[in-house]
Amino acid sequence: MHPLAARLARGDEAAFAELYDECADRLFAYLTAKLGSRDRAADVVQETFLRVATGRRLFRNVDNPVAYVFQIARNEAIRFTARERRGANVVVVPAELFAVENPFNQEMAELAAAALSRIDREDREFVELRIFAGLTFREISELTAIPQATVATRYRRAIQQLRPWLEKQIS
Amino acid sequence: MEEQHDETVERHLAALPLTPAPQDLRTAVLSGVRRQLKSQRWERTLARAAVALIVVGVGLNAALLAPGSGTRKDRGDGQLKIETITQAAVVIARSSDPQTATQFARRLALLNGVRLSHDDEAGIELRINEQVSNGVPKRRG
Repeated sequence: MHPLAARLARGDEAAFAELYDECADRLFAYLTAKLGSRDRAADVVQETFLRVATGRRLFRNVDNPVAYVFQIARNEAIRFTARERRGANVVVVPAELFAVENPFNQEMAELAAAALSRIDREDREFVELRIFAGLTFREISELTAIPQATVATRYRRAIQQLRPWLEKQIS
Repeated sequence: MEEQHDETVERHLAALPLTPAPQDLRTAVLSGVRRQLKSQRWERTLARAAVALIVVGVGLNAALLAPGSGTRKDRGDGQLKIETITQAAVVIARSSDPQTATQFARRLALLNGVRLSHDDEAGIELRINEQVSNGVPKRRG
């Protein structure tokens, strides 16, 4: 059993803090892009970890605790969206997803957010999981129950849709 | 060529720094986790107390209703008692944990004058563990 997973299953409080520190930033970024707002992302992160604590014994069967947390977070985000009755394809990626230190970065961030928002919602999730969450294609495949080859194809398709953004950036 | 374009897009996107999670979110999340774990520990304590009361209650009933049954294990009646003990332990496992359920089974057997063999105990533990893991799929990361 994964050592951190074993400690989580036992209810070791320090283990939950370690898990949070390991994945919080990536999780928050993924959820901000997915839900369109930092406030909603914060709500879902809290719900996610509450579920992680409630179902801690399930970690006995988990090989990769971080990927498992993303799985729970994704399900919570879907539930959150359903509760708010938001249409699945209308979520705009907020520019606040990116940390900006100067006006130039601000402009790049806004362009990136706008470009991401234009990608097909379902394909965009693969970019969110790959680039913001830092998951491998295999982990994304297990999380979404979509074959790995399909994940890679749809990810490539999403990246290709971002090319105009890059060209604008360079120009 | 196409792949190079895609890699360039990926690199530029990955290079954009992401806003980190707010610090107060960490405090809020870990407080919630702490409360949840505390609540679970309390529930387990209550479950163990309930188990202890049940054991005492069943033991008293057994002593009152069957004064002549002694500690001699009759093969047919003994098997029935072991099955009853096992079923009771499985119920306890559902609301607490395998360790509590196993302890419950041993105490209940003792109070009922049932001597559990090594195989009997192994069988009870197997049924308890089956109950705990039943319906939980293997989770992979």
